[in-house]
Amino acid sequence: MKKFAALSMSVLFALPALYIPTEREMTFADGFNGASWVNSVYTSIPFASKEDEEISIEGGMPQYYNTSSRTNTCAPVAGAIVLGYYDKTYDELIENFTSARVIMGHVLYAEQTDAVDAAMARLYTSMKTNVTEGGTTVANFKEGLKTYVNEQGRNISYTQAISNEDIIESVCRQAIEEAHPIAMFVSKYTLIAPSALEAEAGSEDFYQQRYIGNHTVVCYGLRTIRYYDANGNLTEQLDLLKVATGYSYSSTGYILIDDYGMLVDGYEVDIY
Amino acid sequence: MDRFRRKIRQKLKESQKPFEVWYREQAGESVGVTEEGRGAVKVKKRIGSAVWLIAAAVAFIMLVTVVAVALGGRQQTAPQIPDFTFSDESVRTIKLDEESVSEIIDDIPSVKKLSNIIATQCIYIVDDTPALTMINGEMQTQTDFYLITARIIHNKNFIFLDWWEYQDLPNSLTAGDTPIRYKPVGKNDSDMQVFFATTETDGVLIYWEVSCFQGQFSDWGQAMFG
Repeated sequence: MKKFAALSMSVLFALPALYIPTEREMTFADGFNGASWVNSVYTSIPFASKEDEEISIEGGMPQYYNTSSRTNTCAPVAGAIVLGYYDKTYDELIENFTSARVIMGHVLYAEQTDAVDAAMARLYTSMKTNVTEGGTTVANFKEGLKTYVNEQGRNISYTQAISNEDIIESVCRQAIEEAHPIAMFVSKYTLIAPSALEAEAGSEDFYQQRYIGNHTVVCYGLRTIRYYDANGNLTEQLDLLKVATGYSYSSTGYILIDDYGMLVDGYEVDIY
Repeated sequence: MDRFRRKIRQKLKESQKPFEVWYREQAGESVGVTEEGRGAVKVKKRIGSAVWLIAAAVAFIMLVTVVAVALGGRQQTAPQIPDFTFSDESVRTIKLDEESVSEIIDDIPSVKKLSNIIATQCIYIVDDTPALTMINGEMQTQTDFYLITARIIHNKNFIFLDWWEYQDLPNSLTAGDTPIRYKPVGKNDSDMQVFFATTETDGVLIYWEVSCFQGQFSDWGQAMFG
């Protein structure tokens, strides 16, 4: 009897093994159902001198964000940012909207209107956001943006810019130089405010905002800062990605390429 | 310490059963197995125990594995935040209608001087209260063009990305009756000079981001609050 019970228990407990979950495709989400702020880390880097190299797309990216009740919308928001950027050149991309204007000889992006919200809503559908799970898969992001762009009579191409959780520097550099934004998918990440790394002498004092969860951003710049001591020895180096965050209150920032964060995937986006 | 150890050993000895007592108990336990016609009671007993142990171990390993694999594909849960601060994970953004903007202008009349106003609000989802109201607008003076972002702070625990940059602003000026603390923070992507500033009047704390081409920050202060 005990043997029977023992064998039964074995079989019963072994049953879950028959359920082998298939590896889920990662989905990318922000806001209260996705990426979450963990903490702010104060950092101080003393230096005698520093080198600061940055390349970025002139004029940056439009600063769009989600204002709808939809959740996990970072991918459609990132898609809309890319559309808004290319709308400067191809005005038909966002209907009933002119994304940029010239003031005092400078190109400035227009504020987000209902037309941008409508484009985001279309992308939310075409990217199948929240259909299978919360957020958007990379494949659905690409396919959804392609569908939208084609419907507007334009073409789109993607070039892989992240490999093995690291940027393909030649691709990213060339993309920025050719003024092509890069849609980036991150899981855990460190953001630094765009104005936080401007110290000229003494020490660089700044806060790193750390997040967990998945997020989609639009990268439009690369920055490397090298710090040296009085003897000219390199003491610290920061490798940063300049990104449009998709957040309403902090629309741009730097993602620090560090051991904490993970660059999951990324594609240079060219609309033509 | 030695006395303590001795005491423990003594207790352990006391708890051990004499072999005979133990043997009788084990023999009694094995009766059921014997009834099945297996002579090797001890062995069977051991096998019986082993089956239970293996079953339990297998079950435990299976459960741990399945749970670990299942959770592996999901997002990690957020660690406990040790204080009352919150950020992106806890807010949603809504656009404010004209009526709400009018109410803001009633409370903060200087906002009326901005054009092309777009107002949004970050709502703290935990209690559905406003954490921050953000007003974007423009201002044109004779010498400069200004892009203005005013963040009206309702909940000081909301830590947005450049929140830290607004703490301890080193410069100050007074425009009209309004004391302003500020600092220049370099240029933005549109080659505009950017200033961070704070004002706090009648208990309303506002974080200002002022971008302009000519860098005439004090002119903006006078135009806004003078």
